[in-house]
Formats: sequence, C-alpha cells, structure tokens
Amino acid sequence: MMREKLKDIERQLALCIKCKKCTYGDWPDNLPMCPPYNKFGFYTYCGGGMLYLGRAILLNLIEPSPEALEVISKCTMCGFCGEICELVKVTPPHLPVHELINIIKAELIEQGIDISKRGKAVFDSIKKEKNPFGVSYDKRLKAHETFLNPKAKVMIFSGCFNTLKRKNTLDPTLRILEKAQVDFRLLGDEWCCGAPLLDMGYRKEIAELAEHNIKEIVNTRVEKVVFLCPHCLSIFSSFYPQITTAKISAELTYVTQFILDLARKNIVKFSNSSKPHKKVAFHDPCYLARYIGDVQSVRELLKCIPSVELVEMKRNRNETYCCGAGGGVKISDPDYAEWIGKERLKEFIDTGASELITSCPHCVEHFWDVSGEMGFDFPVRDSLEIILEYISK
Amino acid sequence: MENNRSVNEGEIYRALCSIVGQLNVSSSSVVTITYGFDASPTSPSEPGFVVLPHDVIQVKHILEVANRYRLPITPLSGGVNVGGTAIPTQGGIVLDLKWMNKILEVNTDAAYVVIEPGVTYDELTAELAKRGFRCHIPTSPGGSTPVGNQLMRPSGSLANRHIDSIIGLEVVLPNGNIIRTGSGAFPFSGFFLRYGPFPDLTGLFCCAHGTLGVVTKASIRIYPVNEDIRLSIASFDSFSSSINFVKEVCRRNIAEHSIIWNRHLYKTYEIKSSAGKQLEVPAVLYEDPRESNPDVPYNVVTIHMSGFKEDMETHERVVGNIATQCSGRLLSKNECETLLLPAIRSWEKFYIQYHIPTMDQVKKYGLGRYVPWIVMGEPKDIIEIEKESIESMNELGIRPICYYSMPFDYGRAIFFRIFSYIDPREKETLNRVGKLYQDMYDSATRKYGAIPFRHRRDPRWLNRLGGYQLLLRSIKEIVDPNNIMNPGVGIF
Repeated sequence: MMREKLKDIERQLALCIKCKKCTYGDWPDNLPMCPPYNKFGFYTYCGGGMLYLGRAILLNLIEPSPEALEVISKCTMCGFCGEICELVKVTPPHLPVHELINIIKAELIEQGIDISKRGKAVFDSIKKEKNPFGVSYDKRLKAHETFLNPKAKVMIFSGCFNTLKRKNTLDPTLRILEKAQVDFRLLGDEWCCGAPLLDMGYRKEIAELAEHNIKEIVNTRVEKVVFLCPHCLSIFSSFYPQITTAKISAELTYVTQFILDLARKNIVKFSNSSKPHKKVAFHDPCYLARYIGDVQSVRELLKCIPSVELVEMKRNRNETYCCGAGGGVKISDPDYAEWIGKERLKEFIDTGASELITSCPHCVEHFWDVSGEMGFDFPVRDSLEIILEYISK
Repeated sequence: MENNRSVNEGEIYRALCSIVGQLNVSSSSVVTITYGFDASPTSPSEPGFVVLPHDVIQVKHILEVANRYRLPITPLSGGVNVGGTAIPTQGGIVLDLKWMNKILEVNTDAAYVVIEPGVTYDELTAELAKRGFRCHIPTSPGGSTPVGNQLMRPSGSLANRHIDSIIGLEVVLPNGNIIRTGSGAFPFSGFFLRYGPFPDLTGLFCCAHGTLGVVTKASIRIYPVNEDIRLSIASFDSFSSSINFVKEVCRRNIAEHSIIWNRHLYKTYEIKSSAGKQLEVPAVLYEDPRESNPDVPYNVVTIHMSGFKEDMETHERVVGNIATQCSGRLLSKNECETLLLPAIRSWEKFYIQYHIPTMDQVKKYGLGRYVPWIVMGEPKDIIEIEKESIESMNELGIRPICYYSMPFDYGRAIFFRIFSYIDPREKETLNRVGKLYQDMYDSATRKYGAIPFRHRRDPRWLNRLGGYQLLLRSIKEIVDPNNIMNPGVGIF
C-alpha cells in the first residue's frame, strides 16, 4: 500500500534517537510536558514514539489501523516537542515533530481509517455550515452584518467559537475598540479557518476554506487582520501558505498584540481605579506561546493594571502545558481531555491566585468545563475581559 | 529456546496484569512495535508485551512469569539508544523501568547516591546541583539514565580517571532472587564501597546488557563541586600531539577530564536548523578532514579542571606549558569565541554547570543515520588507528568524518570513537560502511591489539576469548538456565 505522505518525511521519521527530550522541559526543573506520555506511560505516546509508529507504518511493520489512529489522536498538538527537538528539524523537509505527527494522522485518515462519530459530526458541519458546531450558516452572516464598516482598515477575524459559541473574547474586544474609537469591521462571510480539520488530520480539505477566507479578506482591502483565536491566526500564517498560492497582504496579528500596540500609542488608556488588589495567574495557550511565539503581550497588558498582580504557574511561557482542549482530543476522548485539564488546574490552585486568565477561547471553555467538574468556583476569564474592566471610559 | 507465547498469550497477559495492573501492560502492536527498533540499522524485532513495573517486587514476579513461559525479557532503563543494544527479542517482554524513578538516597557524607534505573541524568544532576554535588556526565542525552549508562562503562566527564562510577547494585536474577553487591550485600551496610572481602560481583553485571539479571538499584559515586572550575582549550595540528598532551595532563593529575575533538566534530555545533527553513552546515564538514586548514585546527582539546583557586591558576599555566611542549598551544578567550562559540557554550554547560546540553549534543544526529566505530587501545596504537580509519572512511567519500578520543584510567587506555551520519535511505552506502567497519575492527584488533569498546551483537567476539568465554558462559548457564535474559542482544 502506498504511503505517500510518510514517504515524504521518511528521513525525519528514521532519525529519532529516543532521547525523550520531547517529553520534559529545561534543566534543572525538567517539568513533564507531554500530556499523552504523562497519561499513558508507554514510549509510544510521546512525540518520538509517535514518529516510530509512523515509521512502522511506512516500513509495513504494522498496518494502518483504528488503534494506530487512536494512539496518534492522543497528541494534543501542544507543539512542545516541535519546539524543543532540533534533531528532527535538521533533517529535510525540516518539519517540527508535532507537524510530523499530524502528517502521520493525515496518512491514516487517507488510508480510510474511520474517525470517531463526534469527529465526523464536526467534519460534516464544517463542510456544510462552514463552522464546526452544527450552527446554521446564516447565523454567522446575521451576527456579522452590523459590523461591516467598508471604510475600516482593521478587520477582526472573529473565529467560529467567538461568534457562535461564547463571546468572552469578541465582546470585550469590540468594547475596547469602541472605547478607543478604532474603526474596525468583521468579515461578512467568514468561514471556519480549518483548524479543527487540521487537528483531525484532514489537511487537504482545508484548501477550500483557506481560499475563501483569503479572497473575502483581500476584497475588503483592510490593512490589518486581528485574530481573536490563536488557532485561527496560526493556521492563517503557517498552514495556508503550504496549501494555497492565494495571499493576504494585510498584516496578521493577535488581538492582545494589537491592544498592547494601542496602549503603547496611548490610544487605549488604563484607569487608575481603586479596585481591590487581586492576584491572577495566566495560562499561556499553546498556540499563542509556541505556534505564534507570543508570551509577552498579555503579561505586558496586565502590568498596566496596578491593582492586578500576576503570578506564574509552574509551567509557563514556552514551557506552558496544554489545557486539554488541543489536537481534537476534546472531541475524540473527552475523559482524557478532562484529565489533562485537571492536571493544569491543580497547578493553578498551587499559585494561590483567585482568577485564572488565559487568551484562547478553547482554553477558557475547557477550563470552565473542567473546573465545574472539580467543583471549583474561581473565575476563568479571557485576558480581554479583565483588561476591559480597567480601560478608561 | 521454545517460545510458548502463541499458545499462552492470554494467560501471560493476565499474569502480567495481575502483577502491575492492566494500565501498565500492553500487547497491542501499535505500542510494542515502537519498542522494536531504534535509529540504528539493527533489524526490527517486535516484543509481545511491554510492561511498566513500579518496584523490585513487581520485577521479581515478572521474571518468574517470564521463566515459567520461557519468554525472553529485555530490561530498558531509559531506552535512549543509537546502537541497537536495547532491541528486544521477537515475542518477548520489554521491561520498561521508567516508573522506577526514585532517587532513594543522596549520601553527601560518603559521597554516593542510590537510585532506581528510571532516574535520568537530568533528574540526578538537578538534584545534586541543589546540594553542591555532581556526578559523571556522559556524552549521551539528558534523558538517558545513570544506571543504564554506567552499566555500559561509558565515555564522559569522569572517564579519564574512573572506568565507571558504580559502587554497588541490587539485581533481580532470572529466577526471581534478589541480590545486592559491594558493601550493600552486607545486611547492615549501605552501598558505600564497591570492593569488599570477596570477588567483585558488581563488575559481573557491567556491560552484561541485561543478560544476567535486572538491575533495580545502583549506588553511584558523586563528588562535591569545587570552588573554582576551569575549561581550557588547546589546539593541535596532529592527533599524535593531541594524544601526547592528554596523556600528560591526565597522568599528572592536572586535568579532571580531557577530550580530543576533530575539526568535523567540533564544527557540527555550528549546524543551524529551524522548522521549514534551509539547514546551515559549516562548509568545513564537506572537506577532507586531513587537509591543512590554518583557520580550523586539526584537533582541539578540552581540558576540564576544578579545585581550589590557587591550584587552578597554577594548573592552567602548567597546561599551557605542556601544550607548547606537545607542539600545540592554549587558545585565548577571543580565539575560542571566534573559532568555537557554539561549542564552547555547550561545553560550559557540560563542564561548569555539570549537566547535559542535550540538544547541542543530539542535534547532529539529524544529519543522517549515526554509524559509529569505537575501540580502546594503547596510546601509540590509537595514533595509528586514527590515521588508518580516517583514510579508509575518506576513500569511501563519507562526510562528515567526526571523531573524539579521550584517555581512560589515567591514560592507560585511549578511547577512540569515529562516526558519520548517512542518509538512512542509502542502504548501499550503509552496507559499505558496515563492511568497512568490520575490516577496520579486524585491522585494529589484529594489527594494533585494540579491543572493541562495546559488545557488537555478534557472539563471535566472545567466542574468541578462550577460557574467559568458557567461564562467562558457565556463569550465564547457572544464573539464567532458560536463557530468558535479553538473548537478542547476542552476547552469548
């Protein structure tokens, strides 16, 4: 049986020396970093182990199977292995480990291995409604139609989650921009960016979504596209160029970077409010910290608020730990996703902070779900919600 | 050996689950196959089961099951491997000891630690750093384990003076009996001394590659961090000069550790890679390593010294004098930074912070399949072996040709490891290199009296050793009559 995708990465699959550096952070803390390896224990479940699994399929040592897809699907795509492992990147085509894992997953899907029913529902919904939640296509069109200022040079790419599920990032963003009197618009016919498909290994199906979104954005002639979800920004900036020649000349940026820039220009101003002192901990979303490489913008913004004290979780910045919502595991294995979330929340509890702040709608939602399961009642909020509280009127 | 796995698979699985719990046993091919091969050219061999025990009693019971069903068993501490030594036997059990990862005792009074086999170097060095202590730092990655590594008598930061750092062991024998070696064998004593009033049984398990039992604890030597630590770099235009230099600084007790690096190897530290971007490799790695190049010395030698400040100042001067006497010279700080900056940054972690700069060390493995050739010999012979091996590899057109070399046991023996990185898809080149290495071993052993540094998955090596092999085989038959212990490694 042909293994075209795996053939392309054969050299990279062949050279892992099982050093396991993909599983833990910098010396001397050596913090455990790989969720599936931490949970399931066997070497197979770490970044290197999954490359060996891919190599075994390539060499016909084992057949592509639902069991293989199940193992590969435990990867949360947190990107730690891809960032830390330089060995694999030395070898052509120089892809990071987590992307190789995603290619192995795509190969299995291409070989006709079935995904879960829940995964299939997401896939079908994106195909039909252009969002992963089964919400009708028209609902987003309607939601966006009051924000289509044709003169605006700044576009907010809202993301399916923010428009259709929970508006913890969208609403405060819009309020902040209104207060700062920044002209902005939304995209009228915004489609899913494709991140859920990429998580599940459906790589080629993303091209249609990419080409549509790029064409729509180009037609608006905006100069800047501000993303409210790091998954969306990451796929736009890193994956779209791999699958389409269509290009966006506008600058792509993340919402906290954009707001920070406005604050530095004194366009967004913070109030000297006398609100009580509060201690918050920031969870760096994997996609923001590692895929986009931004570990500073939220911290810089929080520094502008005197009564807010930021405390760090043990695993932070580039060594942040997955919340449990990544890589499609919340769809494919909710119990495991919850286990990861609990691990992370225990770390939050250890900080003694009263609020958990993050900057990704998927992290916010997952922490809500898991903290509810654990019986915790501390607030979990998007960073923009807390920032909005302290912006001058 | 009859393997009863096929008829009893379910029974074996249930027996293993009853010992360690279902979550710690896998017989699924998607799991077992990933333990069945590594980055070496060794043929894949899929175990039937992978088991993750948590303590010595579980190990004992697993060995009893393995003996009952005559199942081959391969213990794995870290599993970091580039040489095929941890490839299991088809259908057997892999005993992955990763959960046995406790540092049981840090004895700063008698300067040893007692650790389980799953403790990694990164974990141990971090713990020791907190207490102002250090241990042998190997040339393997930080995720490798001191127990697995030290049992193989490795090259590394203390090898100039000590062949290995192991004092005593706890071992589960194939029949399930648990023994202790060194002073730890005495019922009321700790593991402070390797050599007691009886023959040294610790050594029996070193370089045995898990063929005589499963090591479940080891006592490892540790050392206090001294008040002054120095790393000097000398350059030489010939390997013979480098050998004379390291012999002298090692035997005079000046260097704690010294390594000779050839130009292809020390320049690999400059390889730059990042996701999706073109690889940057220094041009010198494609040149003939023997050609004169005034900007890139033939060898550089790292000299690690530590002690009292006053002593170190004197030692540094003496090292400079010895380098000059050996037709070399110490490099200035500026010269080091110009010639060796990425390497220096890495060596400082290794020698001054006493931990392993893993990615600096392993990055070069991404150039291709690592193919090493390693021998130990007397200094004068290793000088000849270096010439011959470089010439032979050069004739095959291999690039890069990397090597490093260091004195063991105060320079009585010299370790020499030469290697390259070959595109894993180029099977013909890999075969030619394999054949060349065989010829090089024949030449090095017959002509120069060198010995292989590692067992090479080939029982013919042991067969050549006359009475030694007869005694060792007798011991093996007594200890492991069913030959269940890692038979695939091919020592016996």
